[in-house]
Amino acid sequence: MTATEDASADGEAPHASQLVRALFAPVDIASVVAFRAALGALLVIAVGRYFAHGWIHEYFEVPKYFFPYYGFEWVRPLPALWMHVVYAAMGLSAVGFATGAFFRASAVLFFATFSYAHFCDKTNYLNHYYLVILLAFLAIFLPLGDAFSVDALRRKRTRTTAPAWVLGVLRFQIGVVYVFGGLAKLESDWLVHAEPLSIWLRASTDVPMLGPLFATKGAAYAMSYAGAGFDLFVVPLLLVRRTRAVAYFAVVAFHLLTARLFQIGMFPWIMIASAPLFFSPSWPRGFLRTKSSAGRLTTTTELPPRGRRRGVVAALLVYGACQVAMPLRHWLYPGNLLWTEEGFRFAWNVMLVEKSGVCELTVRDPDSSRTWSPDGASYLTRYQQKMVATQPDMILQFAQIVANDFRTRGVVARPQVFATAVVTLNGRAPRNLVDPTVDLAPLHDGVAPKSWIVPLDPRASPL
Amino acid sequence: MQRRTFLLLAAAAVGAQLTTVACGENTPSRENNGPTLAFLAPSVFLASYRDLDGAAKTLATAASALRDAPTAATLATAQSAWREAMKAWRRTDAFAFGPVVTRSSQAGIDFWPANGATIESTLSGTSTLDDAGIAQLGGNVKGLAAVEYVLFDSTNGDASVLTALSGDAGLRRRTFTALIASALEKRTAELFNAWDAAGENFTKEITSAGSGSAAYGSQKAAVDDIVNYMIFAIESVVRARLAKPIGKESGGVAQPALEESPRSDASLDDMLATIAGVESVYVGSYGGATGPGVSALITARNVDLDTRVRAAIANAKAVLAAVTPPMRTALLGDKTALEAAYEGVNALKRLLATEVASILGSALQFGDNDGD
Repeated sequence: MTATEDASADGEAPHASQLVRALFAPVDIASVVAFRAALGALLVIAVGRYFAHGWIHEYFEVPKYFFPYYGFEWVRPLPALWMHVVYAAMGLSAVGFATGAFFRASAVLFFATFSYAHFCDKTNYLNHYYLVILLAFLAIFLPLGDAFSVDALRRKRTRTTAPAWVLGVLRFQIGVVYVFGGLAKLESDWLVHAEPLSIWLRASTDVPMLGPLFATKGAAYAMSYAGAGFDLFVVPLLLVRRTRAVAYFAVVAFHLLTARLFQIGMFPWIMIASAPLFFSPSWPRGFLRTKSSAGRLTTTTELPPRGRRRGVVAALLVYGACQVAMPLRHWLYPGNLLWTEEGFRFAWNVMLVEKSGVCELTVRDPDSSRTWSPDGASYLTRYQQKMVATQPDMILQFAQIVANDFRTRGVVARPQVFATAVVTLNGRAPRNLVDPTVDLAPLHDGVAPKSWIVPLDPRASPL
Repeated sequence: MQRRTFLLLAAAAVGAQLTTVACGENTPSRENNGPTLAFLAPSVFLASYRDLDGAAKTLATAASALRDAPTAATLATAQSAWREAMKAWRRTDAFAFGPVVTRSSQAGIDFWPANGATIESTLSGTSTLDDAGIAQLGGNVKGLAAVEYVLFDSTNGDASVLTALSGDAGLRRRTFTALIASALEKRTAELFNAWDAAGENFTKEITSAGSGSAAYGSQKAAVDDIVNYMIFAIESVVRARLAKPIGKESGGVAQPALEESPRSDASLDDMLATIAGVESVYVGSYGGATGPGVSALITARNVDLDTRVRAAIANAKAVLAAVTPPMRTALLGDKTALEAAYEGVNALKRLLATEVASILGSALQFGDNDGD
C-alpha cells in the first residue's frame, strides 16, 4: 500500500494527506545522526567544564539560597556530593548521547539531569542551556541513535532513513532560535542606538585587526544590522542550495567572532554544529563517502498506523505552538521588555542587554518603625547579587528570602521589605527598576504583570 | 554542498578568526585598554605591593627592636609602622585579584577579627615560640589584626601596652609580636614576589592580556577584573566597615564590636586608604607616577561621567574625613556624620557598579561564568 492510499483510506483530506505524506516521507538519517554526534560531543565538553571550573561547587554548594522558577519551587538542589553525582550521570549520558549508546536511555537521563540542574536556580539561566534542554527533550523521541552508533553496532541493525518530521523538528527548533533571536533585535536600542553592541565593541578594541574599527559607532551599527539580518535570514539561506556555502561561512565566521568577543560558553559551538541540519540530509555521506539509500525508499515506504500518525502530528503542532508562543508572550506585558524582563527568558533574547545595577533592601518593622539594611552578601553569592539587581522577579524573591529570614529569626514578626534597585540599561542613566515604596514581602510571584516595576521612561535613550 | 567547497569555506572562516587572534599590535584608539593596563600593572599594582612589603619589613624591624628594648619610643615606632603597613595593605584592596586570591593571602595578612582570647592563651602558655611554632598557629592569631592586638589598647592606653610588654614577664609577648610581624612580612614578600618580574610576574599577565597571558584571554577581561575589584573594595567599606558597626544591619543599634581597628583607632584611616587605592586605579596615579587609569577609558566614552566619578571619590573621602575620630566614639556620639559617610561612600559604589561597569561592558562578564 502506498502512502496516498493509506491516507485516503483513513479518510484524511487530500491536503492533509499530502502534509502527512511529507512528514513521514523517509529522508536520509545521516544528517540527524551527525548532529547527534556533534551535539553530544559538545555536551560532554559542557559537562566537563562544570567540573573543570568548579561550577558545581559554586552554583549548588556555596549559595545559601536559590531562585527557583515560578511553578518549579519544588525543584531544589541536592547536597553537594549528590549534585556531583548528578553531573557525573549527566556526563555519562552525554557520552551515550554522542556515541549513540543506549541512546534513548541516555537522552532521557541527560534531559532529566540537565533540566533538573538548571531549574534549581534561575540565576544560572542561559539561552543556550534552554536550547540544550529542548534539544535533549526532542532527542528522547527521535531515532538519532539508530545509525552510526553503538546501539546500531550492538543490535547489528542500522537504520538508513528517518521520517522527514525528525529532521524537520530539529530544523524548526534551530530556526526558532535564529528567527526569534532576529525578531528580538528589531527594537530601538539595537537598531537606532546600536546598543549594547556599541558598548561591548568599544571594550574590545584590542582585538587584532578589527579592534580599531570597534571604537567607531559605525562599526556598532554595521554589526547590529548585520547581526539582525544574519539571524533573520540565515535559515532560508542555509536551506537554499545556491546560497548554502556562503550562509554556512557566515555562520562559522559570525559565531567564531562572538566566541572571541564575548564569554558566551558553548552557544557559538552548538549553533555551528546545528547549522548543517539545513544541508541536504545526506551531506555527511559526502564526507564519509558512504552511499545513501534514502532516494530508493522515498516513494514506497508505508505510513505508520493512523493513530500513531495523528499522535505525531498533534505532538508536533503542540510543540511548535509552544515554541512560537513562548518568545511572543512578552506582548502580554506592558513596558519595555529589556527593562521589565517580563517574558524575557525562554524567548531567545540573546545579547540584547548590558544591564548593571545595585539592589539594596530595607527591612522595616511596622510596629516599632525600626529599619534594617541587610547585607546582600550575607544571603547571596556575588553572582546571585549581580543577577538579582537587574531582574524584578529575582528582586521579589530576594525580598521574600530576607523577610522570611527576619521572621524565622524572630527579629521582626511582620517585616516589610522595600527594594532600592538602581539599574542602568544599555548605557542609559541609572534609575529605579522597582518602586522603592512598595512592600514586597506580602507579594506573590506569578505570570501577571508586576505593577511595582517602575516603567522605563520611553524618552530615556541610551546616552 | 560539495565537500571541498564546504571544507574550504569553513577553513577560511576559522583561519580568519585565528588570524585576528594571532596578529600583532593595533593602531591604538582612545578606548584601547592597552595603555591603561600597561600603566596600572607595574606603576600602581606592583608598586603598591612593593610598598606593602616595604612597610611590612619596617614593621618587622620595629617589632624586633621592641622585643630587644621595650620602651615608649620603640613602641611608638612599632605602632607607627603598623599604621603604615595597614594603610599600605588597605590601598591594595582595590586590586585584590590574582595572587592574593590564588594564594589565599588575605588569611595570612589580614585575618579579621583577631582572636584575643587565643592570643592571650598562647602568651600564657609554655609552647615554644619560634617561626615553626608560629607557623602552626591559626590565622586569627597572626596578621595585621593580631599585631594590632598586642601593640595597641585604645581603652587603657599605651602605658598599659608597654607594661604588658616590659620586663621578663613581657618577653614572651614581645617575642610573639616580633615573630608574627616577621611571619606577616613573609606573606607580603611572597605576594610581592608573585607580582614582581623577578618572581612569578603576575604583572605581565595583565600587561600581556589578550596576547599570551594565561590569566586573561583579552584585555577586556583584565579591565573587567580591575573594575569589579574596585567595586568590591568600595563595597567592603560600605558594608563591612560602615554599615555593620553603625547599626545598619541591626535595626539602628550601633555595634562597636564590629569596628575594624578599634584598638588602634585606625578604622577611619583604613577606609580612607581603601578609597585612596581605588582613586589610584581610577585616576592612574601612585607614588609620583601618573598615567592612564580607568579614568582614561571613561573619558574616551563619557567625559561627564568621569567628572562625576572623580567628584564622588572626592566626596567619599571628604565625608569620611568629616567624621570626628576615633570611630569608636563617633559610633556612640556622631552617628549623623557616620550616616553621611555611609551615604557618601555608597553613592560612589552605586556609580561604579552601574554607570562605570555598564559603559565599560564589565557587567557582561563576572568571574569565569558564561553569559547569555
